[in-house]
Amino acid sequence: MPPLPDPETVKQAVLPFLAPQVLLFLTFGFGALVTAIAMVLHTNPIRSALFLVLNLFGVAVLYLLLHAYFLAAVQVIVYAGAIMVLFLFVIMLLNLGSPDRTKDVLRWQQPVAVGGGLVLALVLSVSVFATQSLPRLDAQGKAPVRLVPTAPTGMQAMEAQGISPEGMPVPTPVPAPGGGGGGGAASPPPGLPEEEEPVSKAADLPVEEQGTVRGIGLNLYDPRQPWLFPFEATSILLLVAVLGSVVLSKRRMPGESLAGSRAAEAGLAAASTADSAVVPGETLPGGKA
Amino acid sequence: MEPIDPALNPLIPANGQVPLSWYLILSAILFTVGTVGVLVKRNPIVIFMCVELMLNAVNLALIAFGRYLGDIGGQMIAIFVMAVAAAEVAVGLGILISIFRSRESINVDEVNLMQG
Repeated sequence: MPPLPDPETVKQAVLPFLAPQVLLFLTFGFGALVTAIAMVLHTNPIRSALFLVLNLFGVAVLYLLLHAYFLAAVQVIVYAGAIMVLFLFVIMLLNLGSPDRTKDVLRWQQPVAVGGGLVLALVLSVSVFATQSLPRLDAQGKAPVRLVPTAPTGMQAMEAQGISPEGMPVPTPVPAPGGGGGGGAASPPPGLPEEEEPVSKAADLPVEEQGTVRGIGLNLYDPRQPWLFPFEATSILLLVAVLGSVVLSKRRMPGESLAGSRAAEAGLAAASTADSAVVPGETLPGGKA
Repeated sequence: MEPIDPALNPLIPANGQVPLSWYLILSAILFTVGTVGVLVKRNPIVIFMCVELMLNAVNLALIAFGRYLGDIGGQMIAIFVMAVAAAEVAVGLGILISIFRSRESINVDEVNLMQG
């Protein structure tokens, strides 16, 4: 019988895993993992969608652990609420609730996909294991150093120094903005032009408040930071997406568009000649152009 | 083999905080599950859901890096990823409905007009 390990060493080894944040991560991370795998394994699309909702909730809890409160709320409201309702609505509209009974044409693809997925997971995990210099948080939950220069950001920096062919300026560790008033004494890193001290209100927020609605808004609409242009571009993207989805799913009136009806006829002819795999008796009334 | 100093090992939690590598590994596994789902599934709606899973895994990695580097940029990019995902779902489901209207089936193996 092998000797029992020293209880003190066992306690020392186990104790780090019993911190509340670690336990929360383990619980909800494991839940997110299990629901993701169940989502892929289920053949019923509706059950897959419901497992994806559970997975999104688990990831939202992890966002809360990372102090990203606004994003956790957006995750639950937009993803688990709006987008998943859209999925379920389309599943219901197209009568896809029954499991997939069509014949699989590429039988060899499934084992190849699983093998390739295992290789991908292995490579990604090894790349994480091999990294020795990952940043760590201290007991108060503060990030140790900030690896990006704080002084000029975004368009100001681009205008000030142009697009240098060397790329980004050399990252210089400077104290974190939440680190307690250490930013004032830091001299600007060499290679950067003289700038006045950044008076960003957002940078003054403590770490716990940067993920709230106030912190997100102060950062997102701060003209010294590079997020305004992507924000406006996203608004145009959403407008185009709304128009596109309306045009795509609009039902054509009879005789409205000759090209459209011809395309629909061609599609129907191709569908009727090409496949014998569709389960008979499941055609839906309506939906034809 | 020398025992690894727990203060340097990025896999053991220290200071009562979850190590960054745990978030990255969870994100990597979720991304892989989504990739396998995209490759294996034949129902395009489920393929879309697997793409959502992959985008979520990337969001998790972004937010974790932003938190551990003390940079708000991770959360900002995650917001834009969410907006792009919403736009993608809206357009993609519109395309699916229009494909279903024209051929009464949306099995991805049968939509092969562009097959060489």
